[in-house]
Amino acid sequence: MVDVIGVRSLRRQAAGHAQTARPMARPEASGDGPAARRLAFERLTDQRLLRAYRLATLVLRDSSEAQDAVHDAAVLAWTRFDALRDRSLFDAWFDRIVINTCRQRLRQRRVRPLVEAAAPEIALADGAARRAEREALRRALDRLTPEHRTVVVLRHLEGYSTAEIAARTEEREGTVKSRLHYALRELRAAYDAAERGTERHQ
Amino acid sequence: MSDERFDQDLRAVLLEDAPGEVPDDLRRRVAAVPATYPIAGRLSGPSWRHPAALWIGAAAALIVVVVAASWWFGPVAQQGVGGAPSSSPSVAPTSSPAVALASPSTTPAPSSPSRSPAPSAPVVACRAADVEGRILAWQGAAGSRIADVEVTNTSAAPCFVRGTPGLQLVDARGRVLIDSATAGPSGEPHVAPADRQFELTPGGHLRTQVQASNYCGAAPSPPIDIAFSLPSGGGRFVAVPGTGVSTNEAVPPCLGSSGGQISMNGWGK
Repeated sequence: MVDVIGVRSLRRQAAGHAQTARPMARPEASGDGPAARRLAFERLTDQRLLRAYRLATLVLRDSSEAQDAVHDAAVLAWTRFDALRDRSLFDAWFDRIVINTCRQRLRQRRVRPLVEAAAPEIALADGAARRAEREALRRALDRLTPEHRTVVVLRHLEGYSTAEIAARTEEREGTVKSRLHYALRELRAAYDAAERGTERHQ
Repeated sequence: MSDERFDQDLRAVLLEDAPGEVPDDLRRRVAAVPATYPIAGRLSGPSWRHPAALWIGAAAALIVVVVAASWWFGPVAQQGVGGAPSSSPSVAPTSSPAVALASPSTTPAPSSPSRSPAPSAPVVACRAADVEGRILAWQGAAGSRIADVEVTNTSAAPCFVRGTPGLQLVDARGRVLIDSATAGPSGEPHVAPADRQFELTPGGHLRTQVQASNYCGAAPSPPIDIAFSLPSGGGRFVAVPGTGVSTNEAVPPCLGSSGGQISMNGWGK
């Protein structure tokens, strides 16, 4: 459980990157009664829910399972909510729990080959080449390992810095950089290959 | 090709694949979490969780052990020194400072010291992340297929399973072949008042049989799995074939256009 929650390391990293960190959820009033705690949790999760669901869907590549993962993450976050003293860290803390929940699900799934879209017919009408390239990117994303896909999503969709991704994935910044490098190399290779393919057809 | 265009396209693909809104069902399930689940540490008499209480408990246990050890081994040590039972009065175990500190009693009981009952956290419903499902065998029957499924608690804490989960026969690509929500008596995940509660200790197993019949869709990609959606928003887990279990015969034959069915027997150990 400790590694799932990771409050201490999150606090350390947050302190280290306070200058670069994006604004997170506003600290809630420090009311400590059950009602105040519950209200704070509901507000914080509500603000974060779409991003959490989006992240889980892209990592798991399955919207139904993503819903279950986010629900599991919410249960875990609630049962450990008292461990999070600084509620301004909620966003990163909750992201971390979501990512770990997805990891658990992927382990249970035994990393089955993900649903792979059928290769599209390459039509050469206007815009078709670009569609083919995007489709190639999509298939390449499916082929990435979940760890690589996670850092790509956090960087290219959510726009997080390396330090912020490291805080969410519980990895060192060097590891995050390395994963991004290799993931983008794979994606770029697929993208370029699709471009060459469409050029040949034109 | 420019990096800028690649970045644009990558972001576009991610945005296209990302859901634009949260499903109402998920929003409801998450909103219900605080009312459904207790916060850890507030479960039952949390004093034993407090570090100070742990230290006090450990110290008391240590003292009890010292008392017991000195009572048992004290006379033996006296015998060993002389090579024979000593005629001199044996040193009473209570004369040791430890004993004096432990208790004013001069006659420790030879029986094991009594312990206060350890408080136990309430057992909660198993969630999908707590369990792992394995298909142990597939059997063919007249027009249907039956899977023996074992569910194991892979978490570190006990949990319980109750009620009837939602069932789906799914192929290796995640395609749902038959869904109990629309086909079969099991229906949506639910708990009936008479349903028994099965507690699973860590590593403990439960078993059931799942029957599927009448699949008339396109050829699925093997292997075939069975997905379980636990009642009360417990989440979904997928039972996969165990080692050496073939699912070549897992897909039931098409019997007509009445639609497929999937259901399960009750849980058992």
